[in-house]
Amino acid sequence: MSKIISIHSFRGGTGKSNTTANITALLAQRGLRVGVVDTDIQSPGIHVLFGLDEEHISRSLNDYLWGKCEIKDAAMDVTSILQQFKPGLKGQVFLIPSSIKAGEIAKILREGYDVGLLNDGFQQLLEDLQLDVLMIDTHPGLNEETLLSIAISDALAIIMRPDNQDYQGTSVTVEVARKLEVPNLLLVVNKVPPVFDFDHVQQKIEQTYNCRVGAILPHSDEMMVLSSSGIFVLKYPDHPMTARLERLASLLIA
Amino acid sequence: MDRPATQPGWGFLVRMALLGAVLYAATSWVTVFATTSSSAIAGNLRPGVAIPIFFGFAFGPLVGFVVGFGGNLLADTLTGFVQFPLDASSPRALAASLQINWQVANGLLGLIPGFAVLRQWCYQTREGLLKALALTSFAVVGAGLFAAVLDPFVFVYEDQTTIWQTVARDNLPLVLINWIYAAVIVPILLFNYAYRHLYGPAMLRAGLMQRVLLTVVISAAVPIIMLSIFLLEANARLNGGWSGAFGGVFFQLAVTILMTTVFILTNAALMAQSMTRPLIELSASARAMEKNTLTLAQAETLKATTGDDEIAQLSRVFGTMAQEVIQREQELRKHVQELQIMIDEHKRSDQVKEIVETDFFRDLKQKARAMRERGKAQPASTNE
Repeated sequence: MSKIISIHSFRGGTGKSNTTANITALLAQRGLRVGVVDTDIQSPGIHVLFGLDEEHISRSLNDYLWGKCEIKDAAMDVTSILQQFKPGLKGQVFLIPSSIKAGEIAKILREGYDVGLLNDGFQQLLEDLQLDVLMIDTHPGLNEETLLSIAISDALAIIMRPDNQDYQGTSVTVEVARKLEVPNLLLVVNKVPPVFDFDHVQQKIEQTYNCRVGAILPHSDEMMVLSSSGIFVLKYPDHPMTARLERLASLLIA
Repeated sequence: MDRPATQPGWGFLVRMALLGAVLYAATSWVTVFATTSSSAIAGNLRPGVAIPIFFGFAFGPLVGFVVGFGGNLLADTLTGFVQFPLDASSPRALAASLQINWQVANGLLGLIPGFAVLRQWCYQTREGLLKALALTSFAVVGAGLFAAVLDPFVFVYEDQTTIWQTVARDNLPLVLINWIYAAVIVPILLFNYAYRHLYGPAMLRAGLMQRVLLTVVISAAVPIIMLSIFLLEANARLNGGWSGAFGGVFFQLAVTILMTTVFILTNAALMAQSMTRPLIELSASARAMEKNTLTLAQAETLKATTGDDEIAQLSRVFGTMAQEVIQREQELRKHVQELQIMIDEHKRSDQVKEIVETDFFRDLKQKARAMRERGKAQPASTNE
């Protein structure tokens, strides 16, 4: 039974795209067929983690939203990129990127798009590509389209940093997600300074937000140095951070 | 650790003095055959001359003097140069039968270096060893001159040669050769003594230690063995073939070879330990650091390692690095704050209301519910 997993956050820079890419890779390693949609039309970024740039992208989500193509035409099979690290990979990964052409971004923001079409597209993908999981990399903040992603998700990971700018907004997001009755709602605390007691952080967050914590991810120098040039869990399969992400993946797919 | 204890007990000093005197007497007695051909007086070549000098450096002037004086007196008694009962007919006769100038001269060998104790030189460094060498030279030359100059006053010579002729003809060669012995052996003894805190039987199991030990022993043993065979064979030849193998200077050769071999082996063991032990300890510290079990005190000990060579430098650098890392971690842990999350509850419920009390939201919620119940049926695309 296929699942839709959304990765969301109140503010930008919390690590949504990185987390999405890493969870995708981990699920693919389990042999699943995973689709990833970059719905951050304003500032698309996840394609970078898969090593793609303008030359590689022919059709994008924008094209689908403008009715220029079917959504499956915008899907790129990026399994080979993962297979560079894991030659025997059994799963498959499809990326539906947002356009990175400045003109197209400006156009779609100016003109808007039919949010419902987006939802249709998601369902279409699940069918056409026979996906086990559809990962939605949302853009930050609450608006119609992110609310929609949340509404149709089977699992939602809300990413936050232990930062004062995130606390208030995240509490609103959690509350709204609860009202939308998301079956599997998890908080992810990212970029936690290693000097904090992680158990204590988890307790505090769970208490404050009355929501289960899916993972506490430490601030990592290796991650910073990798700087989204690749997928962390593929490059550092034995790193403790990878183990934490594995647990998160298990919780999301349960 | 490379300096004598500041206040050793008197019992300890007495024991050391006795030990030194016995050692000096024993080694002197064994090498009594070694004389320079021109000495008309009872002076001989002694590798053992290093002993009173070393004891002086290690335990101070008093112990040094006793070792030199007492050891020589004992040796003279054993070899018959001094015979009891002494001739007490006159002060001069007493002095002569006791060979007092020689006893005191040997005492000086230990007394003079003893004053280095006040300066607390570090015998792990080249600088310290050179200073020790200078003082050793001074002691050997001084003691030799002392005995030589007083000789004509103590003893009666048949030929009334001048003091300086005595000195030049008999004593200078003696002093020179004994100086060579002292100059070579004393620094080695001091060096090994300076590292004595490193020695222990367990070290012999470490791989690095065994390799170094083997290297030193082989490099020294091979020349010794070859030289020994040659010398014994030459000795036999000079005594008319192998039947005379045990004649001539066989005893002296055998003793010399034995003493040299013992010295080499002991030295090899000690030097190997002094070289490898710091490395082995450093490697253990590195492992501890990896497991995060290295303490600040251990790091500071490493940082304070004395010595000139690269191994000592490495230990110091490592100690400094480790100290910095451990201190930084401790500082960070001190500043760990409790996670403070302040949520303005009123604001939150207001903001939530803003979102959920819209038609769009209500509509969305309904559709979502329906979708979940029907299992992924598509909501109509009627949102604006």
